[in-house]
Amino acid sequence: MRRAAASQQVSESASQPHRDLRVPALSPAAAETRKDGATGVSRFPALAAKTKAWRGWGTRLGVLLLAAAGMARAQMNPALTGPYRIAGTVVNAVTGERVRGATVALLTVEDDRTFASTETDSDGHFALERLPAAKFELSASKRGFVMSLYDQHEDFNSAIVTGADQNHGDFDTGHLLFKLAPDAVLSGVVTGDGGDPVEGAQVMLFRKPAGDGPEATVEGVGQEMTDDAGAYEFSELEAGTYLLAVRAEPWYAMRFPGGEAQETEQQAALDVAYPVTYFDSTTDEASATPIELASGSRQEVNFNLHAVPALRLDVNLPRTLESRFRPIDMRQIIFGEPVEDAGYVQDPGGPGGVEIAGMAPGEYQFQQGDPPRMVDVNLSASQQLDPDAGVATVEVKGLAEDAQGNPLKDAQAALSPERGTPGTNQTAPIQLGEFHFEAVPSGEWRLRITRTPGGAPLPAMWVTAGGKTAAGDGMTVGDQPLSVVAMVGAHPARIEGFARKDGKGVAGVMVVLVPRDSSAMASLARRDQSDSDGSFALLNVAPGAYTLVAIADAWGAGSEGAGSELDWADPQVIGRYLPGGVSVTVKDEADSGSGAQAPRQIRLAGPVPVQAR
Amino acid sequence: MHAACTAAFVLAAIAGAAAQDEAPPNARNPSELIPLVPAATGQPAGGAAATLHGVVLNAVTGEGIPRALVQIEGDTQTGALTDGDGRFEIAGVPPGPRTVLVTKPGYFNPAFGGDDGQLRDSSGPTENVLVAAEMPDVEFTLAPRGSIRGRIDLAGGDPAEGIEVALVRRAVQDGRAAWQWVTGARTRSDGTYRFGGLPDGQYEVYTLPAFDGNPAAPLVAPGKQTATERWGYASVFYPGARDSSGAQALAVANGAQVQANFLLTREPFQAVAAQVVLPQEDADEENSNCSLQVIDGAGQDLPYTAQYDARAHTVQAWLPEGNYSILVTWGGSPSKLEGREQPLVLVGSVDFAVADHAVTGLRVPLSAPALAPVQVTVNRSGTAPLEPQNSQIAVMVSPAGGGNSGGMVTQYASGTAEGPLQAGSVTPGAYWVHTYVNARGLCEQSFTAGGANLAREPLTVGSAGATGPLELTLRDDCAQLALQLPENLAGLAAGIEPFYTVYVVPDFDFTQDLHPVVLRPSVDTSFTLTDLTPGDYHVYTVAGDARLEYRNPAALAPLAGQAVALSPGATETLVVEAPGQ
Repeated sequence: MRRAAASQQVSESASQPHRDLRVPALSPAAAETRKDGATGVSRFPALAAKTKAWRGWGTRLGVLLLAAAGMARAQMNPALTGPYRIAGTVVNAVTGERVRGATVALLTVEDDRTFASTETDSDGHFALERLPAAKFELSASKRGFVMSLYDQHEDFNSAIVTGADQNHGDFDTGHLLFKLAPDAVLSGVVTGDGGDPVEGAQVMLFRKPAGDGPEATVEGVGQEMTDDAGAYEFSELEAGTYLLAVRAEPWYAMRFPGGEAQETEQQAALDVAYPVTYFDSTTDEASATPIELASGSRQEVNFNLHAVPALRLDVNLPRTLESRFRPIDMRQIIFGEPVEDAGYVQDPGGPGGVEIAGMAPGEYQFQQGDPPRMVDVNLSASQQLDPDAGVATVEVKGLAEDAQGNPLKDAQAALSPERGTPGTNQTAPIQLGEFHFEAVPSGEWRLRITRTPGGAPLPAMWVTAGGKTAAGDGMTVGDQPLSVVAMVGAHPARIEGFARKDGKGVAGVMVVLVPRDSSAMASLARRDQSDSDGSFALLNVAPGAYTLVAIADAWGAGSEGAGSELDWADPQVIGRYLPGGVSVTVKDEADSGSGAQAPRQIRLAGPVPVQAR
Repeated sequence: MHAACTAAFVLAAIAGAAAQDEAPPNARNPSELIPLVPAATGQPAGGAAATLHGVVLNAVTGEGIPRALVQIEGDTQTGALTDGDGRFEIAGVPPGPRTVLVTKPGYFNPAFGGDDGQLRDSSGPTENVLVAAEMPDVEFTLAPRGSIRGRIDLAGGDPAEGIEVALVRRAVQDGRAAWQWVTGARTRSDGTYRFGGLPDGQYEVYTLPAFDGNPAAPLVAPGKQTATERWGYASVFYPGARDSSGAQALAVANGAQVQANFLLTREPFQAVAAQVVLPQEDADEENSNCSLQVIDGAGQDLPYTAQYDARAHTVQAWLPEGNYSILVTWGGSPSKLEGREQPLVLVGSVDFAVADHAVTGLRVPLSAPALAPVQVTVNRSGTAPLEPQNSQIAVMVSPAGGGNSGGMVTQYASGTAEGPLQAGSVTPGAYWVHTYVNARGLCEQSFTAGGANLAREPLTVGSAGATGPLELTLRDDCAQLALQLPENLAGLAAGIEPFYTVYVVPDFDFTQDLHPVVLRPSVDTSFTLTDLTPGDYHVYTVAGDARLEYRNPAALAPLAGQAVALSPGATETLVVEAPGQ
């Protein structure tokens, strides 16, 4: 099952607002602007384990987000009087040792509430008794370990189903083995010239994905500010390959107007900057050394920053009617991710534009001019930005509608560039179905619509651009302003079924809904992990023709899988399993004639056979 | 229209305190240049650029501080880092008064020890320096910041990673000492925490409640509490108290690194559930928000949290053994049926004890607090008419009595001198009042609440509203006091300019806040306070910056004050006695 709720667990020890130790999180809507990749379906951040994780460059996640409105009200019967039990042992995933004192909890699926919880005893055993017949998600958490759900892989886990007549196969709900991965810690000290600690440096943590599929992009995982001793720590990390980058400004830096030539020697000594510094103390991003973290490992990574003369950039900005400058749109590009940068803007007062001072050498992206042009600058010396530099951008106006032609409301449009297209992710709100992107460079883009608040993704659409309609969410931006119409399935379908082998349900298999048209894999494919009785649910399915496959041992080095995760997004790889799959056709809702507002549920008549990897 | 649930309003702009004009020390406004002559360009008389030279010294060791930054602000921005001996030399400085900022990470300016602004950033208050062509060395002083750090051990031996620790500091605000929350930290993977960069002062630390693990969903399904149990660590105030009354103050001085360790033991936490009962007509729950406060038996805030389940209208909390109450403040848009415009605020609370089993069946009925307006009476001695448009009165309140919420100021009521002052909504509790009379010719005579003297006792706001009636009496035969620096201090010399902070403290009861007057030899050699209540006063003059605890007689006793008597309608002049003469 896939964890659908945007519920982020943090320690519950916050006190009152004026004593809140944490800075508010990004809104869930903002969480969706992340470049996504293959599936086209927004990924919800993995569970609680990453209390420091967020999308984009917000601050530490701290606010408890309650689940989006569930569909059914919680059960009201107070007593636990059922005959079933869920029990087992929690062990350290690396050493195999029993974990005592871990909090094991059962969550009801519909409304994301804790149904029951207990702690493991000194032998690591837990038992939850007198349960009714139902489906529960099982979580285990303890200080020093990465919180997870049972048999968790990415956002997927195997929920536990209790009840008589469960074709559980080999699955024994009374003797579960729950592997908890000890968390990894990355810490260190940032110093400047002369060995003084650098306070307030921004240490950014990125994660390198496993594999090379279309989803394999480096993504920002978290950031920490160094304290007065220059120290930082990232804890509660999962095993993986990480990259670090440090951004800071020398505390003594001063900026002087009037241009570099007029600086005195004394002023020049203070007009300095720190370039972005990577591990191992290099300022060249390409030479950054990845850091392998195994579960339970502790690594110390220190940085020494060297101040260099700050650079200045003269940028041509259009003036508005009142002769004021439009704000600068500037980002620094770090590991391919745009990081907003306010820049230290000085207005020399001339007709040409503004001067941005205090810049460190590095890669930047600007939007300048009118009509706006997007410029990538690899800054190594002070310069004047050529007003004609960069790529032209065009305006993209759009209309988002549902299948009945009604304009969408309470949603947000996000554009992400395909590989090779300049620029970075952009988002725009949708009001009365309309959205507007001011400056989109030419190239291939993916358009995704997500609902706000809550960020529930709407399924892949048809996009009409320049008179042509194509399935999926891709669109081509040329050199002319573009009008698009995006049609979204506002009533997503939900496919439920059972993965079985020899008549018995199999838990923990990867279930993939593969579109017939392999070119639409990225936007129309859906996945799930089967629960203890083999059941699975695929959400937000767009109308179309598909083949449903279930593959055992397909997950990566999680609890049970051997080696790495199956490269399911590659049509060559998944193609092997299609002959053993089940055909599913989801009709366009206009045909069904139902006009019902609730999401449609398709229950498969027969089981999906589980194939060996 | 949403309502903020907790009463965290910003101090009203009309807090101009007519009785004493606000005169924040100039040094707190770093970008302000003190003109020697009121010329438009600020360029002083006397031409050639001078050199500012001197040394930055460590206040504790007396040695020079290398790599400290001396910055001269204003149109001619310039600066320099000190060398290995702490010496600096900045050429090309136009003569005249200059604003100078001296900083280094890990140091603070001890001349402004009372300035809590130095808590968080390394940029500090500025000094005014008179630069002249031939001037002696200037000596700036910085004091090392200290730290409080420690290690948390969990009985049972697990590493205490991720435990949250809070730091509070004793600060003087509006004449009273209060413990104010500074910041928080989390223990690292080795169980240690650190609060660095602390200026001298008195501090307390406490741990926030923690659990070894958490269920993935924070809210418990209604009715399921009996099936859950949790063991956790109760909040501990260093060295080992359950609440702030047993906390031990930690003194940070001279750059000391203070150690404060904790040993935490596990104890059972019980689930507490309470049903919130909304009055019938308030239906718009989707746009509501709710703030919950857990309070101990003595009325002090506790760092335990409660959560509100908006769907089930229940409050859920996990608490260890003890006596508590939960205060619910619910805010939301009014019911659409009513079509009311103002946001709605409802409050309610429930008292209960936690022993060894879950606490259920509690109910919290919410009701709109009926806050008593403040009646205003003006004792007229003359016949001059009141000018209502120029007579704004505001009553602000700040939490009284212990705990760590000192300092937050909220508006209780406001209006004009014609009264009554309409009250807004304030969370139930005990508060000190701060009266702001921004009206020409008016000053305070008394302020009572149902007979209680609000200058000496806090105002109690209960669930049903304030205990009234609230009566503010003003008078219009106010006095004036002109303060002057003594002659021998009024001269100007090149170098760091000294300044003096003066407090004019009534001997009688008063609820208006006092605002200190800053006198300095260059431009502010005198200042006149207007709209002072007639009576006897003592005037305290301190060198440099000061935050006087003027509401605490024990804090004033050791100081040498000058007695002065102000008659109704009179204007008196006083030459202050600056210390160190």
